[in-house]
Formats: sequence, C-alpha cells, structure tokens
Amino acid sequence: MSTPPTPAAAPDRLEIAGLKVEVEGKQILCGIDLALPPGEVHALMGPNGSGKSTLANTIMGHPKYQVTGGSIDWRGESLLGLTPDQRARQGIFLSLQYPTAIPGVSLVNFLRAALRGLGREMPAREFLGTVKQELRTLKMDQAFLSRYINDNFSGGEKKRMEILQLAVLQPKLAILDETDSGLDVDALRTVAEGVNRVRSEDMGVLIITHYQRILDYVTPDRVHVMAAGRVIESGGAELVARIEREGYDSMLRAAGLETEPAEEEAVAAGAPGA
Amino acid sequence: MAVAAKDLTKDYKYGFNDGDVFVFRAKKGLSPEVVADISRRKSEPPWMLAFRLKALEHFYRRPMPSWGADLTGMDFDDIYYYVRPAEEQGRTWDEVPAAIKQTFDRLGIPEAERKFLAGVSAQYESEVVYHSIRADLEKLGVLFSDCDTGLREHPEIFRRYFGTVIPANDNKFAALNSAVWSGGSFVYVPKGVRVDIPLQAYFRINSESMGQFERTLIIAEEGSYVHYIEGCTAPTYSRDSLHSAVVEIIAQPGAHVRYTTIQNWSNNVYNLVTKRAIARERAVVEWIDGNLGCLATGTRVFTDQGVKPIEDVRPGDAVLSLTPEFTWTAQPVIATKRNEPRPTYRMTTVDHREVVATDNHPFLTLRKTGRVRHLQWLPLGAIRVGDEVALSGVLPDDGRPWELPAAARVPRSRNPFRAPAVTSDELMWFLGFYVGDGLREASRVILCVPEADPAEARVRASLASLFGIERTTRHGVQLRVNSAPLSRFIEAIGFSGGARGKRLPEWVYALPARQLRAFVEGYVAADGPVRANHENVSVSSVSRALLEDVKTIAIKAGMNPLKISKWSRRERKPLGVEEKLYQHHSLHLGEQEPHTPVYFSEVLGIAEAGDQTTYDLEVATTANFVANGIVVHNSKVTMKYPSIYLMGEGAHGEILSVAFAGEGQHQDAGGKCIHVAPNTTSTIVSKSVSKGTGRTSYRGHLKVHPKAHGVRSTVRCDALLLDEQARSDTYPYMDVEADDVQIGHEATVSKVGDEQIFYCQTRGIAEAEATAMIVNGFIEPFVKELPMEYAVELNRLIALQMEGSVG
Repeated sequence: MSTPPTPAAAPDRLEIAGLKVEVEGKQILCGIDLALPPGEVHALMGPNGSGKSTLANTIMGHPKYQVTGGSIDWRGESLLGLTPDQRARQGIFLSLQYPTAIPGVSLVNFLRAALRGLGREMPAREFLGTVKQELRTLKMDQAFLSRYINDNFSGGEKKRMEILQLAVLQPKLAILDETDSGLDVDALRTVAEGVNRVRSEDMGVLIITHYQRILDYVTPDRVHVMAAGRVIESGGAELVARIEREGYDSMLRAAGLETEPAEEEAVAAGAPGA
Repeated sequence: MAVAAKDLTKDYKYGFNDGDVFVFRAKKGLSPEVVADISRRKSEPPWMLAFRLKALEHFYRRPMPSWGADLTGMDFDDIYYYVRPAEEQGRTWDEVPAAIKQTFDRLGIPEAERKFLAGVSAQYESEVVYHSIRADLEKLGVLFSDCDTGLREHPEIFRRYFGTVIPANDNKFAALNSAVWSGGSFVYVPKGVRVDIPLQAYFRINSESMGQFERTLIIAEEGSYVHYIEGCTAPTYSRDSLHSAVVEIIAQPGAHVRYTTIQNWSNNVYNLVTKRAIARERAVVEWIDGNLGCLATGTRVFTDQGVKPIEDVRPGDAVLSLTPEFTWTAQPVIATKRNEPRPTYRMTTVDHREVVATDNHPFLTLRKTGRVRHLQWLPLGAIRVGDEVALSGVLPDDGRPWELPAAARVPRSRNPFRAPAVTSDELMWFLGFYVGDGLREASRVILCVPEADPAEARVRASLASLFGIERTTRHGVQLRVNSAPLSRFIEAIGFSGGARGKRLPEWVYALPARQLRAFVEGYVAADGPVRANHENVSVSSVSRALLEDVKTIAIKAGMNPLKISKWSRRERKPLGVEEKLYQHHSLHLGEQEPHTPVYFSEVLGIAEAGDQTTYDLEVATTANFVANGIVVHNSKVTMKYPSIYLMGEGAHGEILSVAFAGEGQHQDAGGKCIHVAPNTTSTIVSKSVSKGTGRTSYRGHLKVHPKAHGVRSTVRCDALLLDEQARSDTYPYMDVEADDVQIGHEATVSKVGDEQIFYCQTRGIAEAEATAMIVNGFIEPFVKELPMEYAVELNRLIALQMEGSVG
C-alpha cells in the first residue's frame, strides 16, 4: 500500500508448479504446486523432513538444491537460472533458519553492502536512522550496530536480526524459514509484530514453521501442509487449529503416507506459550 | 620546471608509470666516485662520507669477493644509485610538480593531506619531494623529516643512533644500503611525548632499474609513543627493480613504537629489506607487515622416489627433509612455484657441491663469529665466502631395486640370453662399467677392457652370471659381445645414448644406495685410474651432464663426489687445416665419505649465474629440502622478516603480518622475536588468505636466550581459505634456552563457507563482493589499525584479488 507498484509491472506473484528438487542425488521435493498472490501471508507447515526448508532454499536459489523438474515463476517469469543475489534483486528475501556469522563484518557494513547490491543505497544519515529505529522496535541494543553480524549472537538475537534486515531491505516476498524456532515468548511476539508490520506494506510472506505458535500472532491467509516432498493439504487459517488439535497424523493418513512417531518438536509445540 | 608527462595510458592497476621526472641522475653503477658524488650533492658531513665509503668496502670486500665480478655485470652496474626528482623539496602540496602530483593523486595522497594526516613524507625516486609536519607536532619537539634532512639539521641525534641497530657490515644488502642510502624517514620522538596521529611515508619505485635505498631511523625516547606507516605501491616493469631498505628502530625504556607496512610490490620488484628493532626496558615495539626466491631449472631435488629436476616435482611428492634433530624425514611437497627469469647466483662449496639460486633463497648456514658458531638459515645474499653450508651426508636408503620391463628381457634371437628380473648390485656394476667404457651396435656390445685389466675377469663373470653369455671375442682392447639381445636390453632400459648423449635413465635414481654405489664402482673400474700423487679417483666422460648425473647418485649413495673438471686439447689433423677440439670432463670422487646425515662445507664462491627461470617448493612441517646435495629452505621472505630484539627487562614485542595469495601466488609471512632480557613478552599474529592455487605460509622464529627467564609469548596463526584448493601452512620455529617460559601457540584455519556466501547473496550481495566482504572481515583487526585511506586502498586490493585480476 505504501509503495505503489511500478506501472505495467507484473504482479508480485509467486507460482510454483510441479517442482521437483534433489539434494546430492536424493529426491526431496516430488512435485510441489503452490501459489502466493501479492501481499498474502501463507503458512507452510508440516513435520520435520517434509521438505519445507528445501522449498525455501530452492526458491532463493541455493546451489546445493538441484531443480530436476517443474517451475518457479515470480512476476510471471522463471527464477530458475538466476543466482541468489539476482533473485534478491527481484525482491525476494529469505530469513534463514540458521543465519551464518561473518566475523569482522558489522551490521552496518553488511546492510549497506546489501542495499548497494539491491541498488537502493540511502544517505548515511537516513540509513543509520532507519537501522537504529528498527533496533529499538525489535528491542535490541544499539551496540548491535557495530557488532559483527551474527557473531556470538544468541539464537533469539539472530532471528531478530533477520527480521531487522527484512524491515530495512523491504522485499516483495519474504520467506521466513522457521524464524520462530528457538524463541522465547517475548522474542516470538517481537518477531511476529515485526512480520505484521512489514506485511502491511504489500509484502507477500511465506511463513515456514512446524508449530503454530507464531500463527497465534500472525494470521495467515492460507495454510499449506507439506509431507514427504508434497503439499498434502491446503486451506484457510482454520487449518492451523486443526493441526493443533489433531496433529499431522490424520492428514498424513489421508494422503496415504505412513505416520511417523511424534517428534520432539511436536511435543515442544505444546509447551508454554502456545 | 620541465616536467615530462609521457604515456599515462599504460594503465595497469597500480602499475601506472608517470614517466621519469628528475633533475639529477647519478651515473649508472657503483663506485667510490659515485658514492662520494652522492655524499657531495647532499652536502653531507665528512663522517657520513666515511661511513658510506667504509660500507662500500664492506659491500665489495667482506660479504663475498666474487661480487667484484658481479659489479662489472649487468645487475649492479645497471642501476642508478641516486636520482633526485625535483630541484627543490616541496613544502606544501601546491609546490609539488604536476606529474608527481598525478602519481600521488592516484594513490590517495592529497586526500590524506586534506584530512587528518600528521605529515606526508612521500618518497618519489630517491628524494623526498613532499613533506610537511603539522604545527602541533613541531611544538611537541617531534622530528619527522626525510633522513637526509635529519642528518643535516639534527646531526648529534642522528649520529648517535644511525647504524647502531643494523651495522653497515650486517649483511651484503645492509652494506649496499649504507653506502648509497638516500631518502627514507627520520623520526625522533622526545621523552614522554605521545604522537596520536600516525606518521606516514609513501614509497614508490618509479624509474626503470632504479634502486631505492631508503634509510629509516626511528628513535622513541623514554615513555614516548609513535606509529609510523610505510606504504608501497610499485608500478610494473619488465625488469627487476631493486629495493633494499634498512629500517632501524630504537625504543628506549617505556617507549612504544608501532611500524606498519602495506606492500604491493609488483612481481619484479626485488625486495631485500633489513628491518630490526631494539626494545629497551618495558618498551613496546610492534611490526605490522607482510611479503616474496627460488632455485634454477634443473636443480636436482632428492625425493623418496629418487632424484628429480625441481621443475618436475609436483605437490604430493615426498622429498627428503631435515628435522631439527638433524635426521632425515620424507615430507610432502605442498606447493610448487615457478618464477619468470630473474637474476640467479651460483654458490659453490669447498666440497664442490653447487646450486644456482636467487639471492633470497635461504640455506642452512654455520657462521663463525669469534669463537661462537651460529647455525641459522641465511639467504644466499647474506652468505659470505667462508661460511659453512649444510650438505647432505648419509641419506636414508629408501631406494628399491627396479623391476626390469619384461620386454627388455625377451630374447628374439637364438643366442643364449636371459636377463635378470630386477636390478642387482652386479647388474648395476656392469651397467656402470658399460657407461664408463662401453658402446653398443645393433648386434653387439663392445666393452673396452684390455685383457690385462683386473676388471676384465669381473666383466666376463658378470656377462655369464647376469645374461648367461659365456662367449666373447677380443679385438685388441675391445671385448666384443656378439649378442643382439644384450644390445637391445641395454637400449630398452634406457642406456642407449652415444658418448655425448649418455644420461642416466630416471629409474636409476630410485635404486638402493648399494646398487648406486655398485654403479659408480663399475664406472670407476672401467674408467677411473687412481692417478699417481692423487688421493682420489675420477671418472671421465665427454658428457658433463652424464657426470652431473653420476655425481647426483653418488651423493644419494652417501659417497663424496668432488668437482667436475674440464680437460681439453686441440689437435691439427695431419693433412689439411682442420683443427679439432677434444674435450672431456672428469668427476673426482673423494675417498673420505660422510658418516653423518648432514655435514658442513665451506662456501668457496658465489658468482652471478644470469637470469634464469626459477622454482621453489613448499615443504610441509620441516620446510626444507635437499637440492643438489645442499640443504635448502623453502625460499622467500627471510630477508623480510621483521625482527624485534627484546633487550630490556619487561619489553614487549608484537608482530602482526597479513598475507594474501591469489591464483598461482605464494606468500610467506612471519616474524622473529628474540628475547634477550628476562620478563619480556611477545605476540606474533599472522593472518593469511589464500584463493585457488594460492598458498600462504607462516614462518615465525621465537628465540629465548638462556638468561631470559619469565618470558611469555603467544603465537597465533589464522588462515582463511577461499575454496577447496587453497591452502595455508604454519611453521613456528621455537628455540628456547631458558626455563620458566610460557609459550602459547594457536592456529585456526577457516574457510569461506558456501553458507556465508549464500547468506550474503540472499541479501542481494553478489558473490565476488560477498567474498571480498568476508575477507575484509577476516583481516578487520589489521585494517582497523590503519588510517582510512590505507584501509580503502587495502579494500580495493582485496576486491581486485577477488576478481583474480591481481597477481
């Protein structure tokens, strides 16, 4: 709403069809169909090992993930063949499950390099103001400005740092790969508020999670459930409640997949704060 | 003033050349007259002229008499020892000539001036053209000028310290510098004064074949602090340019001196720098530094698979290497390096072993000073006639008998013939005899051995036992073996060449010592008369190359081969005018054989050997190898090791070195801390980055004298590898003779992970930029010590490295 779309530009729509992906010769995704219309928030759920992170990394173009079939279109054009940074320049952002530390590179320098890469350099004063404001919003100390990115950060600090970058870089499509995992309630709320804030700016969001905690704060437009490299169920926000109630078992059975024993994460999902 | 502004289009990164700008240039070459002329033009006091002339004598005489010959050669005579670029020394930027400004502009110097620099003392050619000191520094009594001005204006201080840390006779290049020095910086910081802004000098080499001989003298009085920065950006030339600086630092009690070098020498700049600091009680000295020699093509390297020419050695081959305990070990070669032709020198020992190497290639040397003998690795350039160098003695016998190819052994004739399946002492003796005195025709083998020769019976016995050949015929001195299979056999195993072309086939080098010895004995039996009045025996051939081969295997077998001498005679044919030159060479074999793994032999001479393509090997752990029977170190850097002598109790030394090795490059970095006084501390940190086939090595030397108790030292090596191929090695040498010493050594190797790159990419940062950013992050601890423009330049260099466009 705030940033008007460029006229004549194709809508910021992600369209995945029949996507097959291999990692080191092993088939992980066996034909994914998924569409994310502009500005919508979708949740991608499913048990561990169902291929959620693979999908996220494949959309971003991680070199380890080999696309062996199907297509990923963004704004009506294929993303396949583009490097991750080219995709980033197309407006796609991935919040990593395990953000990497880069010793010696401060947050400020990192973000400036990113903005430069995206062709959106800002005057230094405005830039610093923005970053400082985001740090306050995310309840992070100003000292993070000069700290080396993710170096000796706690799990929660890393996740908040991802949201901060999301807010500063303002992509058109944000994929949050388990940004909610490893967070305490306060941190989760802060992160969720962050998501809600950017969501209101016309940004498509794909929230990948295997528990519904974050979805208590961010209501998705649609929910997809993945298992064994496929989307086995799609529906509205009500699907979240159903998963909370029944777990994935019934869906897995309905899809003709064997149910796996409850995993630790599934137990953790019922833990305080949910 | 006339300013030449020539071809500025020859733009090659930092390799731009603004054309020669000078008002006075001394004659090329070196002589007492040139030295006196330099001194006169500088209006120096008599003591300095005397110092220079004495240093020149040291340069001529003491290091190596054979240098006298070199000075008539192209190298040292092809250099301008003094070039003064402009008539006046510039006082402000405006006064600096335009062409010179242009050079500095491109290096960021004017910005440096406008910003926060204390003073810029930028050396263009030999003289300081531009130089200013901020008023507040002057008020503090800090002296910062070019060295010539220092001498002129502050003669007492200058004379008290000049040449006290590095005397003129310290080494050959220090002597050269002492004779012809010009420019450089003079820094004097009075007692208790802190200079908070770094003092900088920007050195460049500009004229082709121009030697720069700066002299830097830094004196920090009690309790003072100063940071001096030296940056180098040399343009590229087709010829070697010589840079031989001397840096002396005196840190008086409680003083703190930091010296930073940023180097970007182009490959053909010859960098032979002696840098040394003395730290008195509680003083602190920090060197922040980084930097590049090699052996000529054909040098024979002793591997565990025999002996190979250095150019054929590959990474992964194991070479014989000397351990600190003076035993032999096989160590893998980590990397090999080839260099474009550059000046080389032939070093010959009294025992007639010789090797051709660049002058910065280090050898294990024993030098007598008074009654003390010091064992040290010295670069060829610092070795003097009379020093002793380590030679290989008894080598481990790792050879194996060679399995003869089946094809060679199959008779295709009715003559009775069989051949052995593997080499034996007997076969090698026979082949030695054949090489010495045999020749081969298609259907027979002829051995020149008179009937009366004591070897004759053994030759015939060998033929019978080895090949089943009983029948021979005699024609005068010729013993003829009419056997086509034997002729073919000799050919098939690689002994086919005629007299001139004879060489030893490669497989011979990998034989056990006994078989090698049998071969040499066979050769001697054929060819080696014990001459009257001679203790040793010799073998001869018209082929010097063959004798070199034999010498090599004799060394490998632990024998004592001596010199190869040439003998020639001219003969006029009886009818006609044709004159024929007969020439042959003799290899003498010493009777006294070594009985220890290593022994030392005096250096007989070092002579120029022309420009040659050279090679170097990087050897794991022990970092040395055996070349032509001489123990040599991996080359490089040694002349560039900054060193700190901790002479006063409580002194602290710190060395931080950074090295980048791009594709095909090999960078060595390191430093030396010598703890002479008790309770002294030191920190040596090395940070290296390697990419592709790039290799970095850290070499450090930590020495603690016997009385230096309570010493604490930390050595830390961090390496960053940019890909799978890249590699980095650390070789800390520690030589601790005191008790109660704490030494910590830490090494980390990290890789630029795919995940780090991906992470940056997800934010829109392209791969090359991401890598550069990660590398910059890695050396951040170094960069943050630098003023802005240096950091910026360093970042640019890294970016260029990442693009693969440098190196």
